Amino acid sequence: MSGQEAWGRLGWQGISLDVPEDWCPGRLEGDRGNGYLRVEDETHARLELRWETLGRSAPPASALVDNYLRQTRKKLPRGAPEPRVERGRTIRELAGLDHEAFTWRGGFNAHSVLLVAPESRRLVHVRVFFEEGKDDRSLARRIFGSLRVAPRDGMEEWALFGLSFQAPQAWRLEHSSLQTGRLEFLFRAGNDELEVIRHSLAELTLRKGSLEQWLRTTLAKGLRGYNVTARAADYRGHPAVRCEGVQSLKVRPLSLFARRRHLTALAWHCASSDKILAVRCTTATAGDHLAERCAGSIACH
Amino acid sequence: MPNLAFWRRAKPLSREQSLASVPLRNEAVQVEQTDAGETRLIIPLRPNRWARLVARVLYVPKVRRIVLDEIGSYVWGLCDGKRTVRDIIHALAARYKLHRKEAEVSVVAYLRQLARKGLIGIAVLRADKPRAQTDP
Repeated sequence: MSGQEAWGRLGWQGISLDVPEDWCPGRLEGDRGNGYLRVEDETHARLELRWETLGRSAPPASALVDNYLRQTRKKLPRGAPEPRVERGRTIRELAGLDHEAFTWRGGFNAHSVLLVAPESRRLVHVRVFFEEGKDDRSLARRIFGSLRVAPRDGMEEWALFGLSFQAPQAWRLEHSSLQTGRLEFLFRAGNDELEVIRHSLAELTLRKGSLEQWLRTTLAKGLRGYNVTARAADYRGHPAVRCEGVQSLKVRPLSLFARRRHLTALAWHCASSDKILAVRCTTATAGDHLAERCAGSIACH
Repeated sequence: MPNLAFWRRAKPLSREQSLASVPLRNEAVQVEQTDAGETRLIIPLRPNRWARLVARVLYVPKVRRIVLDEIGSYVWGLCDGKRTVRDIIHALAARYKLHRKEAEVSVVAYLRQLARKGLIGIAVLRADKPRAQTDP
């Protein structure tokens, strides 16, 4: 693979990295604490990402690599030739983080980096596979160099299938749905909710109804219980609909003096990428700009 | 020695083989365009003995009609016996600005559905026989 090819960002559960654009997630498992993500090109698995929460007395990365190599050697079939392992390398961009890069050849061939994320105390292990004779160290180096495991300004990057956005680090992914033509993410922190939706085939959808109708149908569950006013707007040069609302008293008749929750939603149609993007946020305080901030982090085209 | 393993299930296709396979429309299926620009498939039904018996008393349709939506019609049009599954995925992704994986998942599921209904056949190339070059 040459360095001229297009690259995209991949981000999940607080871990993000660059991958060639034609590599897509093929399997996703787990939650924030422990999980697994496999990335494939058209025919083969090319990258694996594993994360695991460590205890308070986490061993250093080199000890974790020792353990990993010991376990992997045990899984080799009897009589298999001894794998060649190159160890002890570091990645310049990851300076300051406890990490080790190494290469495994035998059975499978992979460049790996294993690091301990300082804030979340998570072990992050990235493996980039290559076929015999097609070793591309510079590709692996670029991927490892782009690895981020810490939030920026309290926001974490989520990026999948060309959709990239930022969500607050403290919020947890409650639900996600990755379907053809529709990606949905719902984050929660206490009773606050943040929902991000990307809908493909926008032109076909908008032939059947307006953007506001789409928004009210798609976010029907999230808008329920709120007195919502919608208005047409312009967002970054795209036709958009903004919704604002406050929780209906009918929903909480016994809490007249309690704070009512506020809702902000924004949907816009990006014609150049043929997508509808929507962000909905409910918070306890009015004037919270989280929806705006999250929408602003989405590169729609 | 004769091969007695004819009842064994065929080996599943590799990913490479699946993508390189070529879907081909069933020639017995007639095609019409609807006013909305969608494709209507007219599938002749072959009545069995019971259907023939019932047909003496009741109306039994001789054909079944299926209307494909816009995207379905587009994919149907690409099943020309020349394009591979990979070609169709790339064409769909480009036309509807979908991510390659999104297009792949929907095209594969859709072609499987068409094949199950007998509307298309899928030519699979043997691993030892590379495909001849065709026009793009």
